[in-house]
Amino acid sequence: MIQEFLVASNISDALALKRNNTKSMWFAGGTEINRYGSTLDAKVGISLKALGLDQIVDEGPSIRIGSMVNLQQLIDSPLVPAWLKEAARYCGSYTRRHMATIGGNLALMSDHSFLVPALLASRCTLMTANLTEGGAYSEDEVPVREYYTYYKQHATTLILAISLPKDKRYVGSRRYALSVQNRSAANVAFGAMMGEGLVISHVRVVAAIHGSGVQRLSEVENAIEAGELSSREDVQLAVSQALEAVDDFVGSSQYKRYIAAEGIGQLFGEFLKGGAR
Amino acid sequence: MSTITLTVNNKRHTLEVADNRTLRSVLVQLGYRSVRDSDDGEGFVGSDTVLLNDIPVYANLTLAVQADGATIRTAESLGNSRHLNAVQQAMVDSGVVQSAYNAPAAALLLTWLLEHHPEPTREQVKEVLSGLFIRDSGYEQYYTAVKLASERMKTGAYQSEIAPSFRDNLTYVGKPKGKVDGAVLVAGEPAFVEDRVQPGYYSMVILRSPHAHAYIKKIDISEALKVEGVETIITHENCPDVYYMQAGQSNPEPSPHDRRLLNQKVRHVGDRVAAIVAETEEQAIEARDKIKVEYEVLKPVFTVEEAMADGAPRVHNGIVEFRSGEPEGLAEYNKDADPRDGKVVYMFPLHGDIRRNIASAARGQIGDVEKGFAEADTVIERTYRTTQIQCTPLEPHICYARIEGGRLELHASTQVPYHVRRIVGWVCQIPENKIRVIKERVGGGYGSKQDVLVEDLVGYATWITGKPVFYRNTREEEFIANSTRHPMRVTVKMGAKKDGTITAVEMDVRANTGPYGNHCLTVPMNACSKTLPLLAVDNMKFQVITYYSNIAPTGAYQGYGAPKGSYALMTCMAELAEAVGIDYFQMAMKNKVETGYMLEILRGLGEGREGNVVPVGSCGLEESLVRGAKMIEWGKKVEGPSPEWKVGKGFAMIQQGSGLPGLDHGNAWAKLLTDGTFQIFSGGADIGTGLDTVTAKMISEAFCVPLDRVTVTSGDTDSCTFDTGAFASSGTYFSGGASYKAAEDLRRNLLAEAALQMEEDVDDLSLRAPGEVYSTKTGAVLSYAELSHTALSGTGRGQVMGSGSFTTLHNSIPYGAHFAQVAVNTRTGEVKVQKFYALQDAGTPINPELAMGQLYGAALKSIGHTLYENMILDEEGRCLNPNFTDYGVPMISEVPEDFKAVLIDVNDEVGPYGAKSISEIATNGAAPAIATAIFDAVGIWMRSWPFSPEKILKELGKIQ
Repeated sequence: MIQEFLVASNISDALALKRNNTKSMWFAGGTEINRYGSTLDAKVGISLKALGLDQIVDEGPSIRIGSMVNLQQLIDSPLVPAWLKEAARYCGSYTRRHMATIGGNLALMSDHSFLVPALLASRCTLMTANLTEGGAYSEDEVPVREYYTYYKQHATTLILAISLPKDKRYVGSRRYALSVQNRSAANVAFGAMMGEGLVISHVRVVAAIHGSGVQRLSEVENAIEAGELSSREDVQLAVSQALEAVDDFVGSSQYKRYIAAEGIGQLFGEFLKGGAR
Repeated sequence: MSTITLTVNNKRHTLEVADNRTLRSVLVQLGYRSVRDSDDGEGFVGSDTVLLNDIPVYANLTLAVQADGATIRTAESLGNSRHLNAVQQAMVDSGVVQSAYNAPAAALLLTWLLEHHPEPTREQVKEVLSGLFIRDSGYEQYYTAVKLASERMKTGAYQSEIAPSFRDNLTYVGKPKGKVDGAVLVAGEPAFVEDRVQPGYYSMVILRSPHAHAYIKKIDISEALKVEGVETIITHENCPDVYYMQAGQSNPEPSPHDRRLLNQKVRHVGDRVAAIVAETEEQAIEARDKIKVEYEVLKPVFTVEEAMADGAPRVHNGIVEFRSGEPEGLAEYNKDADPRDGKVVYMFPLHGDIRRNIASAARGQIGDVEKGFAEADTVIERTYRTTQIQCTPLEPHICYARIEGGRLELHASTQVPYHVRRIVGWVCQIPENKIRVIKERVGGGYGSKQDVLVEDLVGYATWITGKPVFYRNTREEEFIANSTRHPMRVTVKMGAKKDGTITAVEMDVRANTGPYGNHCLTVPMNACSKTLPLLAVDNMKFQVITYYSNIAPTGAYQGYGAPKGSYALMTCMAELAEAVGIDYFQMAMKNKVETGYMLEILRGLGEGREGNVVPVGSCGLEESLVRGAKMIEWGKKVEGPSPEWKVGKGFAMIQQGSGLPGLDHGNAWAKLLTDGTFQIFSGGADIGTGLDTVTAKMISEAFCVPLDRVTVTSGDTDSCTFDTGAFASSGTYFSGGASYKAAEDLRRNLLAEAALQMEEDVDDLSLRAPGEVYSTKTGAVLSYAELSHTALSGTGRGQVMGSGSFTTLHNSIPYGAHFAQVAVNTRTGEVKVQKFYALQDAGTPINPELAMGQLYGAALKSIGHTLYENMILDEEGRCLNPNFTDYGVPMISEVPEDFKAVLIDVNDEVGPYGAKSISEIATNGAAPAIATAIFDAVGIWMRSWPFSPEKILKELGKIQ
């Protein structure tokens, strides 16, 4: 648990506080940092609540969701697409949904994340802020896949917002756990676009597997785009072979591979039926 | 440190707080005690829910500094016990306020909901309650509560029925009248142990074993004792050399005395190594960290199979003693004992053999099972396994003790105050008159508070230090150092003729008691004694063997062994029906008992002694079966919503007991107060189930006075009379029976006094509302107030009192049947309980609204056991999921889509006003009902609970 709570007055101030405090963490909703049994080790929490990052804005070709927007806001907003509302509902507690934020969920990149698989599958873009080595303030637009790939290098990056393109794109996710509020064994997502001539493009296949982390299955994505995997069964087999999974108290590695593959197979099947969302 | 400003319930507070302090701890410090803690800040249970800027949040998951400048509402803003708001009142009236640890949080959330949505949909209620874990009453009646509150807010009165009523000839009994302690509980006013703790208390923390099985070679507390504020440290080296057991049961107990306060041998991860008492919790923790322990680690055993293997490590290898019935050859048996293991003392023989890890054993039979199997056309044998389940009371185990007037006074959250007194007296080696136990409101027990798990150590620490000592389990300690459901392996062999007549049944129960033998005979015995008597079969045989192991401790849990025996016996019967080729329902109807059937099997099913053979008395089994089958449309196939979803139906016959005939005992006494009101003192321990309301109704009904003219004092060993406690479904039947008899005795005495004062014949007098004696002969009237005043004047004959004691050899068995309709996803292994109908005969439901809540709560609990819950240990014996998120309790999301509780109207011939028990029996139906429904859906037999998707997929052949 944190020992010191610092409230950033603006974004630059937040970045400066982060740089000047080792063992500090961004403090969004606090549902993970404060949680009993949390594995996060932070002595200093840098609160983002005064930064005005809690808005959802229609920006024309995209929807901008502030990183401090909580999961219930996602559900309640008419601007937010159905696939993201569905992922937000995987957090089964109404109370917790009012506390947990989209930015916090993304930044944790946990193996039981509610949102990360769906966000990765969406090809969203992150609006980020950072300080250069020289201390200059900079803002960037970072594709979510890049944030995922270089996650550890982004430890000091502040996510300001998530930008969701309004492309006609399919995104779906499935969560598998014993009960709604039990820790998930697998949370999987599939995203893709169907072009003219039924050409499949921009495929994303993502799975958060308990004990093995968030995995983007690029080989499966490429095989689907190349037309090598065209049926639900093909995709399921490829996913089950590509996934990493370990035995633990949530389930066996075999179960996790099976259920993740089944989930992605279902989503692929739904996509093929024209389920753009 | 930061300076923050909070506006709480319209009152502004400015204070300095450490940055790491939770909002809850600050609110409690400010006096808002309704904000309780059930999960140490996991953000799961919701007892700590508050509204922060009109948004619900978990206060224990929120830092106080996060709330700087915020407006906060707690349950204290809603109303107080004398002026409840509409939601609070509706919650009390509908029966959802039971153990009520997070009832204030629920009231706050629902009030907030109704403020924003005056007529909320069912889905909105479900959503708002999704962040609350409600273990006692299930969730179903909350919909009723919201509806009632909404109606009252709109029209000023309830329009809907609160709950069914029974017995037209009675005014209070059988009618929903609210719970006598409901207002205090829902308002969040002081009621629990934590509310009684006075400033200046000392904190206790416990150093626990990291090993499942080890000797303590050396323990060095010298550095720890130097920590400022440390008062004492208790270890196996300085604790009393007294052996006892923690199960608060009968005396002498049918379980071995196999432990001291602290032992040289630790037998599970989390076992006690040292207890540290200091002025503050921080000091105690600092001292705990400085204790140095050297262990000699031993190989552990975790399963029944490991425990029974040749050459298995011995969990107990000490001296065995018997207080009575010592067998021959004991000295030889003890030759190889290791003194570091201490002793195992049997009060009487339980057929244990600790050198083979057997804590107890029993067997018995009626008829000739071999002959029965020979007569059968089909014989099957199946084995069913159950896992370790945690009771998860929302209020953890807790105790506050102090010295008062030279006596030890314990404020306890217990189901058995008199056993607490006895066991603490024994541990401290002080007589019972030196101890007072005050049972506070109990925030959930479910059996685990039948065991004296913390009071022993807190009581001893207080007695030797003279300091007030407070202790509370962390949630992790609730999992690893607490009572849990015994894991069991139950093998059933059953034979039947072609027409479905069952000719013989044999049950072999192997139970895992873990490190100590709490209830090691009675819990496994219940697997047989609360199931076999359902069947009218002439040839039955059973064997029960309980093994020690190094898993987390086990003990009592609602239903004892019955849920596991029921799962095995009923599922096996369904498997037999399938093998024979007849309908399972028809087989049940053909072989069930009915009123008058002589239960010979009970002879061998006593709790350590011969049981009483009695005929089946009041029995609603057939009606439960027939009505349930009609409700669920038994035999009608239902299609799933899509091809991968298959739907099936199942059911189970169930029974329990109403206390333990010949063992349990209730006492009560009552008095007429000077103004004509009443006070009754019951030894019974109300653990949230409404026993105090039962007690009050005994007076109200007898004297035609409303409930608010009756005060109940219970669970205080100083002022109340002995009662064996609230377990084994004894509350209404035994404790309520004693109150009934006390009321009747008081009635006789009051009439006799009235006859003298009125100069009338007692036979001409009757009692009537609003509280007076009436002469049917002369029309004369004497109010209770006048009568009492005269009796207590200087020339009167003294206070009118009455007392009652209830024991019986009669066995008033509650019966029922639970039906389930499930949908099974053949691709994912998911199981959805679409319908669950719980039909039960509780005799006369004295508090019908609370009885319904008991039924819903127990049924949902057992659905949880069946589908989700499981304590998982690693190879070292460490529990891998000692928290709510990882353990998996059912929440409102898991409530069946169509969930109905039906009280079958049967009047019992012995229970008070015809009452029998209600709650434990309701834990027995889900596993077999769901197992048989799964078979009906997809053709697989689930022989191991929980029925997880992974297990389903294995049975379906989808994974290995």
